[in-house]
Amino acid sequence: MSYIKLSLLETKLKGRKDLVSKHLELGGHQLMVEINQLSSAINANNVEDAQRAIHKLKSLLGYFYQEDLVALLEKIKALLEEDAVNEPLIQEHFVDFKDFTSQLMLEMKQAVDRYGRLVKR
Amino acid sequence: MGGAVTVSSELSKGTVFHLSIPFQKVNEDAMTLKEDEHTMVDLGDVSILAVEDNPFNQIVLKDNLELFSENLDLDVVGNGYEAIEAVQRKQYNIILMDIQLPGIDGRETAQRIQVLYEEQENKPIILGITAGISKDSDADASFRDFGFNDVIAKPVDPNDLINKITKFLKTDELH
Repeated sequence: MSYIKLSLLETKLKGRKDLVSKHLELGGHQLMVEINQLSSAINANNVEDAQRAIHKLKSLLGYFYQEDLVALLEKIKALLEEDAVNEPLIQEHFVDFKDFTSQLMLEMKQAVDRYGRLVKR
Repeated sequence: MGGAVTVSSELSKGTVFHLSIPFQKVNEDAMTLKEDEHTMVDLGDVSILAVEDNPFNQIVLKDNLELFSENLDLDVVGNGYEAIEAVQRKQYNIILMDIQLPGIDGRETAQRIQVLYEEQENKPIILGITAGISKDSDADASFRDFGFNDVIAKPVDPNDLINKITKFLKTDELH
């Protein structure tokens, strides 16, 4: 299964491969930062920080057309708004989320490598 | 497709095939819009302040604007306090304001900027940027109460961004 939607990103950026590459690289880095923030917030049971991280992640993943991952975040957000009874389910969804985003980040990195070669030419 | 194929044939003479396919007339306006998507806009005389705390979004905003304009007078700050300081140092035509900011949020920042410009005619156009609205919905009226002229949905689409800016350029609302 492939997560990355390069053609949509290319269209949005008017075929500017240099920008596609740059946004993938920076976006991948920012994704990692925000996932770590969310992870810390969930582990510390800090709902406010978790909501903030989710908000940023939704915006970031939305930019890369990851509607399924945004929907998964919505699920985690809804559970966080409930109470600690759902903690195992939050963890379960979050593990899924991290697995999927790891795959996405790997694809982003591979695409950056490919675009990097194209841009250098 | 709603078309039809008919055949008429006469022995030793030949066969005639008729093929009909209904097409809708091309919407010329839509074609013009597509061409406009690649039009560069001269924003050289327009000073823009972007208020965005997320470094990735800062870069995306800048790149999106540069897709449409080579001459860009753009300053970027990371929070509401810096934005208020910036507007007191320099006259901006357009302010692109993220709503979720650390410290004072985008709504309060917009309100404070409006207060600073209360007695002045050359108010900047403030465009809110938020993930809180869908792309197709009209700007929430409550944003206007905080002093926003319009709202742009996150993730920002470059066409949407430039359309909102040029809308205010065209209507001469800039000062």
